Amino acid sequence: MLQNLPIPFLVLSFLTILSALYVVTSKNPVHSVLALIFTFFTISAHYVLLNAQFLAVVNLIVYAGAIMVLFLFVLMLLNLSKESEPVKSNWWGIAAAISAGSLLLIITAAFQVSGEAVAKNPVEGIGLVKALGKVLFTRFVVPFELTGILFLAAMVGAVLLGKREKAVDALISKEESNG
Amino acid sequence: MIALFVTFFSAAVLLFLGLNKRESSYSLFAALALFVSAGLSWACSANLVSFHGLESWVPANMMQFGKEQHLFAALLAFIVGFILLMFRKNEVIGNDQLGLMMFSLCGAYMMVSYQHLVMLFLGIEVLSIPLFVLAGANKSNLASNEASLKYFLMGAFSTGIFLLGTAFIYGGTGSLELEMMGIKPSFMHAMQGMPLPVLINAGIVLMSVGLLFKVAAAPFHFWAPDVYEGSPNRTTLYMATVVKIAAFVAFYRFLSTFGGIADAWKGWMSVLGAITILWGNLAALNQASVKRTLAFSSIAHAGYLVMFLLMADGTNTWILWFYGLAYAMASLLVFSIANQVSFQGERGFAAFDGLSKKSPVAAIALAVGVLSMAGIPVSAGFNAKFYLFSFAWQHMPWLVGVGLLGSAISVGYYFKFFKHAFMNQPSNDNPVVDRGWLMLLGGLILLLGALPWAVLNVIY
Repeated sequence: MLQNLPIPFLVLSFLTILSALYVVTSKNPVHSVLALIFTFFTISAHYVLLNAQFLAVVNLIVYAGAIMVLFLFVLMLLNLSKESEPVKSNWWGIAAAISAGSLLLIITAAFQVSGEAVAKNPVEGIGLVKALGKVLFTRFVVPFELTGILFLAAMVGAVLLGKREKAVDALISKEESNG
Repeated sequence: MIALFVTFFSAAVLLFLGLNKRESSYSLFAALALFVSAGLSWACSANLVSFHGLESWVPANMMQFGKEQHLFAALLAFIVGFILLMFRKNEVIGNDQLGLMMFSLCGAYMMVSYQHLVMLFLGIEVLSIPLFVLAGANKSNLASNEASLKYFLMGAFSTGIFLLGTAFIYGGTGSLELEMMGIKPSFMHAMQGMPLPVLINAGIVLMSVGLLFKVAAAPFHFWAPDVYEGSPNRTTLYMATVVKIAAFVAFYRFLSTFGGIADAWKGWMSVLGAITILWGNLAALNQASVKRTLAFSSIAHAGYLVMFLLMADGTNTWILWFYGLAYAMASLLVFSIANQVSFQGERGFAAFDGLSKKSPVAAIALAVGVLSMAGIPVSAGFNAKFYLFSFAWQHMPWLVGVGLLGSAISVGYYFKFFKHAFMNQPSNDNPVVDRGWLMLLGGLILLLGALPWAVLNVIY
């Protein structure tokens, strides 16, 4: 089975799984985040192999760009150390592993059974920016326009949360004076 | 569609109204715009006016504008209009918050009229993202911050699970349109008794998780009490009524597409409904805080409405409409009185002490609202529950039994309101304003309780 797969795919998959494992096993959170960035890069490479260039670029911009920078910022701000870590029992880890593992099992089984239904109907150039743009501005123009409401609401919300308020300032200065 | 148009553009205008500083005018303007949207939608549903040019702009495979969609849009706009009217006196609400609530309502309109899962997803997002902000609108209150963060994190996860389900449904049926999903070959096989494609089954389960989270049904309700308690009162009321109704309509439309293979989801969903009813009612018995009690009561009401989902065949949406109206009016009454008597930060039932001596009108209105929530006869809530249970009896007798048991338990905690309002001595002198609106709402509840068909025939 393995020898039928293209070599770039095998190499990429190996790297993806290896770096993903390092994300969860590494003790140092910064190393974890860096390994996660590497994982996102290899997943983007997978998208390129599938001829989905738009997804590959968006994946890089959104995940490797925006979200990971946010992660790094939070890590630097939180100043994690051994003492501040809450003590958690191992049971949580075991329970999480069991539930995530069963989900993986069920999804794999689902794809095994209905593999052909998924692979049917390949459309020419479906992952390219050109094809996507065409569909977005013809068939999906209504959802595209209505996304405007979402962005406007997000902007107003960000301003609302970021606006300076006297009561909040007083609360912060009280916190600071308490130490 | 006309409701979406009017609501969105008046919300945009409202944002610019901030340039003049007359803050008391914002709420009135917003409420007026919402009542206009509600009235126009209702007129559309009754064929009095028609906005065909506007609606033909939207392809039929994206959104549908039939009678029911207009009626639900009218109901939602009416509820939000009332929320803004009832809560305008205690505190000044900035135009940005009002605008956000109206943007969120636009998402609810999309959820009640979607024909394409992309529209449903977009509707859920437009509904939720302003709510994450509104839940944390009391920035100096730590509980409000906590509510916002909790709702945001949980909401993000549930949306992720919902999207995974959408992808599975697409994989299994090859389409995202409600009309097309039902006639795809793999689906027809399943209807003729051949094994259901696993992808469709997994997709239904995962999408249901996302939607059950939004309506706060067990076992996805853990966020609800904390979020409801921490959020500002008007946001809590919005979440308990508008979000719930919109999510149930969306859920109903989704499940009635899969009505032909109902065996695949009916079993586990009825069990979830029973758990939700019992959990909500039993947990509400033990709460000391008014808002937490109402939060668990709204979880229990979500459980009753799961019964309605089990009858999803696309013909009996009027039950949901009526239940939504009855529940929303009772919630409006109870929440706005609770907001007025306890706005200095008391959370316990003691805030209601001696309400009958301070303001008999408010006490009677509270009694009507609470009786309607509990489902006592001659109130809108009784009729809503009666229709729901009598229809569900043909499908799921045991679940109706659980529902009746839950209603009996619920009297236990609804009685606390009476005890404090009528039997205790006044402990504070917070005034009750807006008696006229309270009387109007209480009268409407009694009218819907006494003559439901007279009202339904006119409106529906």
